[in-house]
Amino acid sequence: MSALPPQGGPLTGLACLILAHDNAPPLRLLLKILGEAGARSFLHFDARARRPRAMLEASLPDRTTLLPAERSRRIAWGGFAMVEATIALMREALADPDTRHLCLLSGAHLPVQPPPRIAAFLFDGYEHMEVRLAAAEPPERESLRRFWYRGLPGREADRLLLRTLNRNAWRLGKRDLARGLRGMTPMVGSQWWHMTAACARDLLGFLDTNPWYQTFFRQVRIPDESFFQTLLYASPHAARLGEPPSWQRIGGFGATIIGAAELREAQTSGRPFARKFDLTREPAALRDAIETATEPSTRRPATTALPDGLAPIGTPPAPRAGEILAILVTRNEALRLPSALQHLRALGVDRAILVDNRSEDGTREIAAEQPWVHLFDAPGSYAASNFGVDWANALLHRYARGHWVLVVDADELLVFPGSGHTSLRTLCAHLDSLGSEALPTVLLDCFPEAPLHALRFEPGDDLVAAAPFFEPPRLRRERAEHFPYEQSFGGLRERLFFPEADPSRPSRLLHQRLYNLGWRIPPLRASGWYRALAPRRSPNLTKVPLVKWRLGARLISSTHMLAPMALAPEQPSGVLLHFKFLQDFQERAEDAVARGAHFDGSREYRRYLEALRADPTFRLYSARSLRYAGPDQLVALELMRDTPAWRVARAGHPAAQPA
Amino acid sequence: MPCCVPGHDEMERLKRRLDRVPSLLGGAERVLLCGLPAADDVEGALRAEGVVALLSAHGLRIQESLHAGRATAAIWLGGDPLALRGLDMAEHILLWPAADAPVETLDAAMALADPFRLILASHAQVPIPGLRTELLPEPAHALWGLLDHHPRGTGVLDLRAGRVWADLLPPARLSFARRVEWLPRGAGLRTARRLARRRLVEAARRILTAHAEVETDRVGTSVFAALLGRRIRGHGAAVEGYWRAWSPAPVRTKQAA
Repeated sequence: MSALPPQGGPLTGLACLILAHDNAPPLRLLLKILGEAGARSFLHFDARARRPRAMLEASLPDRTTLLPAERSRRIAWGGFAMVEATIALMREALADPDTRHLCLLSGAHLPVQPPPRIAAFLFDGYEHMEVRLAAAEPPERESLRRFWYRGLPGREADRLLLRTLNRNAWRLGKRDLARGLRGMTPMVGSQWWHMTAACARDLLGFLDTNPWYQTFFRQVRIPDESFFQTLLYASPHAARLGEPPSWQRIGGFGATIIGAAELREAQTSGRPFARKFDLTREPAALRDAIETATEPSTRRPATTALPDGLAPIGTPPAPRAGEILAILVTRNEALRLPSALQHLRALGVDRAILVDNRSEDGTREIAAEQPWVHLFDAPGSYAASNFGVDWANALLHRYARGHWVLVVDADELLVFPGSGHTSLRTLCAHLDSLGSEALPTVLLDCFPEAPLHALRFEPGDDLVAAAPFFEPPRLRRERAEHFPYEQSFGGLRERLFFPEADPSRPSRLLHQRLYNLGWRIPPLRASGWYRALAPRRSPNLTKVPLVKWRLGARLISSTHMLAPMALAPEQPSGVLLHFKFLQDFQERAEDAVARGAHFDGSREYRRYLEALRADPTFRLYSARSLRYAGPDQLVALELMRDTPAWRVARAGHPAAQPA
Repeated sequence: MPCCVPGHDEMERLKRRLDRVPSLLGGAERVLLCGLPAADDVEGALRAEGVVALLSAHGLRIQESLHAGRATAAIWLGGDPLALRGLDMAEHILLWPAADAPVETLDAAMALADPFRLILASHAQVPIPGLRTELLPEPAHALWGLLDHHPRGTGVLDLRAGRVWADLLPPARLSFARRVEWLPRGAGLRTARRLARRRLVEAARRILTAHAEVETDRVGTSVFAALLGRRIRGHGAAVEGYWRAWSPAPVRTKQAA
């Protein structure tokens, strides 16, 4: 091993595992670029490639480790030796305690992005591997045949006997995949991957304790394209799968040779590496192009840049595995924010992301006082960002994948069955055990007994004590096209501010019927003016604030509607206590109407303002009101659901004290 | 009518949920399959193959005859309830009827066995006094990823009420399956039965893959379509109830006329 230069460089902590044959010129360029960027390279040479090995050994680049000749394998195309060589390189790389990421490359790979951009792509906490369902692969890509029928390694195109033998392997009968893979689902994908050291250690640990897995794959055809894919997909790390790190052009039955002409396409793919380069074809042009492409000065903005000028103020979040996150989009919430943050912390939220849209009342200062709160500046328009949904989606995709995350406003407090004495972590663990990815809730408006203007709520006061009343809503459920496929309407706000939205009223019924008739005519349906004639609805009371964020997760309309998430048939639900109605309600309504930044031109707030102006002593309390007495009361009122399994689960897990 | 298909991750999740079955059987190493479906029942054959795949994956040995070995647990698959008689050796009996099986069959089965040893696998939480219930999807989900999705055809396969698999399958496959039923008990019976079931499932798979969508009012066929990545046009409460219980994305259904 060569002497190591001092630590540093954007790729420090990255171990590149390189399976090389005889292509020394691109390999030397690859090792040079990786070494200069701080990455370490672990190199396996085909046992037959003695000459290129000797040439490289004579002047081994910095930060490069060459696997000893006695540990080198004779690599046959489509054979298991490729997997064995990879495992040997993984063990070698993980022996170095500084290794935090592993990236598998071939000798024909070259980087096509500057090192900082490679680091941004690889060091995002995801396992970058292509994983596809083998059963859904087309027959020309061997589909399940590579698992069913035993095959001899080697390139069939060049050898008639091998081709004949492999083409007749089916005569020996299919292997029992359920028994052979012990319930794992056969997966395939590109051989070239990147994984975190924690994931690699877990996979090697599994291989050490389950030798049957390697035994099974010794008789699988082209195992290098299925061995790690199948294993990773069966592991918990599959929840954090990202895009593969390597770009290649497929032609015929494999990757085609590429050169300087394809470099642009490789770069625009956003992936850090590309193959198969042949430096002997156009040595000078390709070398220049690669070196220019990987210069840090040519760095372009990351493809995953946050939208709309969204930027962290202070340290951006780096959540650890298992942490529960919260995200809040705020504007001038200094009155409610301290209480909301106290509530989140008491629930068991580990880290909060607060997106502030130009607050001027000290909201940012309150957030900055809390080390567990990460502040983001959102200078753009709230309305143009789909009412904050675009901001939340971008941040959740960047920081929350694989985490349970609570998406709430500063005036919303989550309660769930047993929430007074059970932590959110216990609830999330229970939902995990059910296979659920979300907790549906009903929004319940809370208000004080006195007129709103008479309330004296101070920052940090108990919201529930200040506005302890609610009106049990008679919920009306309507089907919706997006998850959770059902939306609830009704309740206090509909009764007081949107009485015409009640579908039992004859005028509303007639309006809806006539609108539905017009909806059947496609040109009408497509026109904006016609859609504007749709009967108005009262505020939507369904919210799904607690979700396990993953690839494919997306907020569509706040937390009212999301991209599909899994829900278990028997799982608890919750209630979001909504503290919109405090003494600042009129001021906030006037601000919302003036800016027109809320849904439907702040229609909802215009209604509120009309009511407040008509009666300055306006109060929400009435004979229908009930005083909030805890989660059990809401369960008894059937506003949220408790289940026997959740009662058992929380009985053994009292609330954890926040750090 | 719009139609839907569960995603790969969702099907994987359902398959993993079945991994709790061996623990329900009390750690038994040998399991008796009883109440097997009729020989020419494609959906039943798929369920039986699913159970075989599931138990094989966990290294459990399977017997299909009461006298063939020393099973300490049994799985009843919703066939003849009388098969539950004489299961004194089974410490745990998992009743796993089809999701749309008639209630009477289940009642008859429960009347024939000791309730303290029974566990009911159900796709919906319906508490039955004195009976332990476990929420489990159809056993055919254990075959997820093990059935080839190709070749990809086009058009809609209509398997609503009135159209049965027997009308579509090659007669030779059906007659082979029926003849195996009459084989004398003994060596080779299990192998022959399994071969017949596999041939039946494979023939049905070829018919299904030759279409892009499946229109059905039966849960078994809708699961088969999902296992092959085909879009489902579900009809009726049974299909709707099943996929509503197990899938985050709704399979759009309408009530049968």
